[in-house]
Amino acid sequence: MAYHRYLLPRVVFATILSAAAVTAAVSAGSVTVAVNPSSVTLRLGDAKSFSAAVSNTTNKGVAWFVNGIAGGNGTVGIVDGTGKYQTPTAVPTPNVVTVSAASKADATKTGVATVTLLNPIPVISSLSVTQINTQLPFVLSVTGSSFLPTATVALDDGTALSIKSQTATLITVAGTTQTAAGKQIHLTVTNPGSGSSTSSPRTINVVSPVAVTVSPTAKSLRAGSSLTLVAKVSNNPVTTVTWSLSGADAAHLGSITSAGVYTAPAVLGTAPTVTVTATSAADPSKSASATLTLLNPVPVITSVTSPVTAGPAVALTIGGSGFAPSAKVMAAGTSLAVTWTSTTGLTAVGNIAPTAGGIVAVKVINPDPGGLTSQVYPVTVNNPGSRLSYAAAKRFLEQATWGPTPAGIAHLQDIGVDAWLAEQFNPALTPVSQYAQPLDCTTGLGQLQLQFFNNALTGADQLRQRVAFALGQIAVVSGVKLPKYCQMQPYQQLLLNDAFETYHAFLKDVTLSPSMGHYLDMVNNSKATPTTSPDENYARELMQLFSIGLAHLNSDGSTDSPPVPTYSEDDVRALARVFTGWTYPDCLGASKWPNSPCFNAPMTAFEEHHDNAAKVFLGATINAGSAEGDLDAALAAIESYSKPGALPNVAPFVALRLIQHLVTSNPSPGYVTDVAAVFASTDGSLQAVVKAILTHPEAGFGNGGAALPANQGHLREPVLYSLALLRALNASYVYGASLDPSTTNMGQDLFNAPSVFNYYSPFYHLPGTPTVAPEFQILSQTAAFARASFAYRASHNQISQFIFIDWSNWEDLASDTNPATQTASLTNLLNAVSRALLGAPMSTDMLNAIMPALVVTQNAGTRVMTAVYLVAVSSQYQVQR
Amino acid sequence: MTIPVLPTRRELLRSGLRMATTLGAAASLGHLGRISAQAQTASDYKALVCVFLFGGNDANNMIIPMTGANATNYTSVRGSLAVQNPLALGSTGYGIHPNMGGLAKLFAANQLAVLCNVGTLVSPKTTKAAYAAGTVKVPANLFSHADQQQEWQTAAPLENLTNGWGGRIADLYANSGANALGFPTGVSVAGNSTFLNGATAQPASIGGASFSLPGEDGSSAAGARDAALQQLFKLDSGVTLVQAASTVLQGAVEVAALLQNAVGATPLPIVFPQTGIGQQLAQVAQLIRARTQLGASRQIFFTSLGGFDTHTDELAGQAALLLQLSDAISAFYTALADSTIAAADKVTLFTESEFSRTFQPNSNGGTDHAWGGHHLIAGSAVKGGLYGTFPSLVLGGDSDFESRGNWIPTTSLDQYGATLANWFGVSDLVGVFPNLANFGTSTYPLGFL
Repeated sequence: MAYHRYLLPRVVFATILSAAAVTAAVSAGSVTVAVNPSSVTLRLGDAKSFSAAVSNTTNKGVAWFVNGIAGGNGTVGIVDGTGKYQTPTAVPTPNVVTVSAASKADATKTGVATVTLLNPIPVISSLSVTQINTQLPFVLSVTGSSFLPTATVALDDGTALSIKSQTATLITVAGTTQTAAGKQIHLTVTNPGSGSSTSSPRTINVVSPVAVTVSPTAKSLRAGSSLTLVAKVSNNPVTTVTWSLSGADAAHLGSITSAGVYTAPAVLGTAPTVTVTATSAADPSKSASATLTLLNPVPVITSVTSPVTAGPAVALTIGGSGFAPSAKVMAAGTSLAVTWTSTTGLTAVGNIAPTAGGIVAVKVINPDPGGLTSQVYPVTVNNPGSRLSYAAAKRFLEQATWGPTPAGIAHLQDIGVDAWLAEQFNPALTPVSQYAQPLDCTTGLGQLQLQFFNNALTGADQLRQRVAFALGQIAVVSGVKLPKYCQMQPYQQLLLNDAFETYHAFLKDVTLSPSMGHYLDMVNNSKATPTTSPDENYARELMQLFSIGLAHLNSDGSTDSPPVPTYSEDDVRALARVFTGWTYPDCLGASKWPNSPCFNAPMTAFEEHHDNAAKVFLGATINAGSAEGDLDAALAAIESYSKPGALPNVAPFVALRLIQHLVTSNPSPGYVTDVAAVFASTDGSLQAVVKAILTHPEAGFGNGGAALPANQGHLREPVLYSLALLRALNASYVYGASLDPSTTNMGQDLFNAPSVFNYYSPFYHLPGTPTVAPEFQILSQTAAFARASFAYRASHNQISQFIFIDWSNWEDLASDTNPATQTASLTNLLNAVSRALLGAPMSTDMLNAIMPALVVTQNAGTRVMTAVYLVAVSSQYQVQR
Repeated sequence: MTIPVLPTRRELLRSGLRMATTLGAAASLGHLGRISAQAQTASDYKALVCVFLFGGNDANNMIIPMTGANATNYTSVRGSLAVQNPLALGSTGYGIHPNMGGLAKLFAANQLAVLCNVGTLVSPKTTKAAYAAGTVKVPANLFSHADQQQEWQTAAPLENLTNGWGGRIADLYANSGANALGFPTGVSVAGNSTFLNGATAQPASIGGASFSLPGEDGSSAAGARDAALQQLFKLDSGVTLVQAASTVLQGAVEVAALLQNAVGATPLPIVFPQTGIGQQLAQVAQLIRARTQLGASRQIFFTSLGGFDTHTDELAGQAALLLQLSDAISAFYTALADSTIAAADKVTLFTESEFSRTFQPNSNGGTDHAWGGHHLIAGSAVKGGLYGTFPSLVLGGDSDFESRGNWIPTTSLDQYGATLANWFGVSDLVGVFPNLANFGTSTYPLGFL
């Protein structure tokens, strides 16, 4: 302004000077000046050009004034020399100014225009928001122009607005509208004061309040795992939320990032759920929540102590992940005492007993909520005893019992063979199994068979039972002729009672047994009459089958070539005469010849029916004369009969047969010789003979694991096969199961040998070969199928309601169905089955043959049944070696 | 290096002559080497059915003289053990045990032959005198069940052979295409027997319980299991007995497959007796009926009936067994004659037993082991009648080996078997019955076939 003032007077002066020069020349009427327009209303910021009409002078120049001020000023406005008036920046008081033009000819002559000054009209160019939420405090900015410092902003719904900041172009206001959503409100800016004016309204949509949703609204998730929640904010451009957690104490709450990623705590607290809340940044009164149900994590085992030694307090250190604080640990179905270290480590202590196959499935079981069981981890369990290896102990028990059991193997490894044999030989330590006395003479052999299998599966006198069974296959009586319990039971008890006596005691007891007397017709055998001769049956079979056999034997069991007969028909007839005069024992109190059949005491002699004349028998004369005297002399002659220079025939005769029944069908000559020598030097002590058989290198005993000859071993006869399989699988048993129907199908009806020649001959060969294989004589194709059927039924727990095999440990080992890892897991299963049945982990060949049949199914139970069946039916198990 | 221990060596009881023998297929076959190269073929169907009577059937009470001195001797020596009311066998002067009515009918229809006094013999000139003089051998261990059962099955009176004459016949037909599908020539329905073991031919032994692997439900799991078993069979364990056991089961599976395709479930034309021997012959009849499906043209069946070792209570015991035997054979031929099987003339059934029994009873109402006895041959191919020489029933007489009526056989097992084998189609009879060489070629085949 100062500039103008400075300039203006010069210009005006210049104009005035020139105007004065001109006016001097004119004088007539007075000068008039008219300003046009004469009045105008202007708003600040406007400009107006006035014109001045000067009359009565030729000097048309004027000087302009505003409110008498030449050129005006900032308060009242400025006028330039052309009469253009510019409004001031503020309305003056009063708000009317004059714009005058004074003639330069006569400065007293002026024209005047009045200018009414008004505030400008505010103009809104934009709002910062086009919508606001009902009832939510808002802040919005109005951008425009001509906003006076005192301009006000209004909404047409009456919302009170407070001005936060204000410039001529930007006003920021805050307020809260109560108008309902869906309606429109309008905002105006009003300049107050002179000429108060209001801008055009701007529309604002009122929208619903801010809404927040969270997704998912509910979910279960496992400890330690993460979940991304998504919050949606509607009805407001500010979509950010803040996340918060509640419902548990800080240590068990978990955490959440600003991006909504929730991570559950590694360990659950007591609260079952955690609440995640998303709160709208735009309207913190608005939020949404999700309820997360926390579950215990998935337990995963990555390491377990292995191998361990079986015992009552085995400690396992278990590493992995996801272990909940009250997780349980199971090992082969036993729950262990757990000490939880962390989610990645536990120790578990408890009883791990010897188990079939020696591999135990270890599992970690998390409790609820969401309790899961880990995958199975196989742990090798060794027996604590170390007197002999597992394989050696198993083999020994195959030969000395009805089959090894896991506990039996452990016990033998613990105490060693000498102590084990001493235990077995001592009836005070190992009582003799007792068959129940018969109540009458009407029942058949079913109950006897039941007791036999009960003794075999549960009795402690295992070796005694094996030896008794072998003796009963040398001196055979058969239910074919003795179908009654009362007839057979005493004989079976005799076999048990005499198993560890001398062979002489056994032979004499057999000779005087009414069961044998009835079977081979010695009972009531009477001396010759003119029309009859003494029965030769027992005499012949005693020599041929029970004692010396048909031919001279060398000490190694071989015969001469050609064989030399031991006895002649004359000897048979002489012995038949010896065995006269015996009848049933007197059980009714009135003894006579013949007594009524009675089987539970030795036969009794009636001398008047005994042929007491001298007999020439086996090259010597028997003169005794009495029934028992003759009998004793005859037995002595038989037991001492030998090929000149060799051991008594009975020694290799019995040695061979016992070796075949217990160990191997094809003993070497040395094996027979060694055992026969023990027989001869101990007067036929069956304890000594059995011990010599079982502790011989050819039985695989103490031979350092050296390979046995290709023809070593023997086919398990049906009774042994079925019992050994069940015992190896650790079957539990309650009284009531007879395996006889199964063994009969396999060719061996218990107590019912087809004849006195037993189920099979000691001399039976594999057809066309020199290999002796007695048990193969009854391995018909039908019998082979029957064995397969037994193996199959055993694997399916279908043998009997009284027999149960717990497959759960092996089913655990078979439970891996992940194609990447299952072959390795199933190898553990097959090794366990193989160790239990075959004594060692499975050969690669067998593994490769069997594995496809396991992976064809994912069912753990089926896998176990298939593995057990295939190993049990395999010839590798059929033959014991 | 195992010495075969305790073989039951065949030997002379009293003679000093011995035959050196060794066990083993090589020695046996060397002796029989003549048969190894000559295979047999067949264009028609024939079958032999052996019924082995285990225990030693007392043939004295099965075929009974009804006229003449023998009839008198029978009544007097047998005493209380004599059978009453035998059924007359035509006009032969002999009768058959009264419980064998079915066989009497077959005899009347000219379909039953009786071969009298046949037994194991080394040479045709076996007499008590010759034996006492040492000029002739008798079979080894004459009165031992096991040994005589072996000799009747192996036709080797002095050696211990591990294969039977039925098996040696099967060897001849083995590679000839006689049984086109490979179904074995020898089939036992009575368990394992030496009779059907050949050097190469192994018999099928079936019967009784289920004849298949368990769990065959057609599922893929069952298939995988069976395939695994087949793989196990193929493994060579290097252990003799393990390989032998695998061979048995594998053979069983192969035979079962053939049977399954062939036999089917149609009932037989008649109901067979529910006895052991009845059901065995029923099974044989089914297999004969299925002969075309089995691709079989030559078959030898082995069946058995036991319990004949009647040292005591012989009358009742034997009567029951002979009833079973007669009814079963009778049913068998009724079935074979039916048009659905049509094989009565193609199938010859014959009995064997390890020995007959002492003509003189013992003190227990029974009899003891003896030697020669009478045997039966049945079928429409048979020329009915009595054959052989009936012994003179005199204790201690010329027919008696000792003193209690152990009849020395007048026909040998070799001649008996050769007659059957000749009918069957075997040309090299001495190859199958090596001991036949001791008997002149004019003495066989016998007239009943």
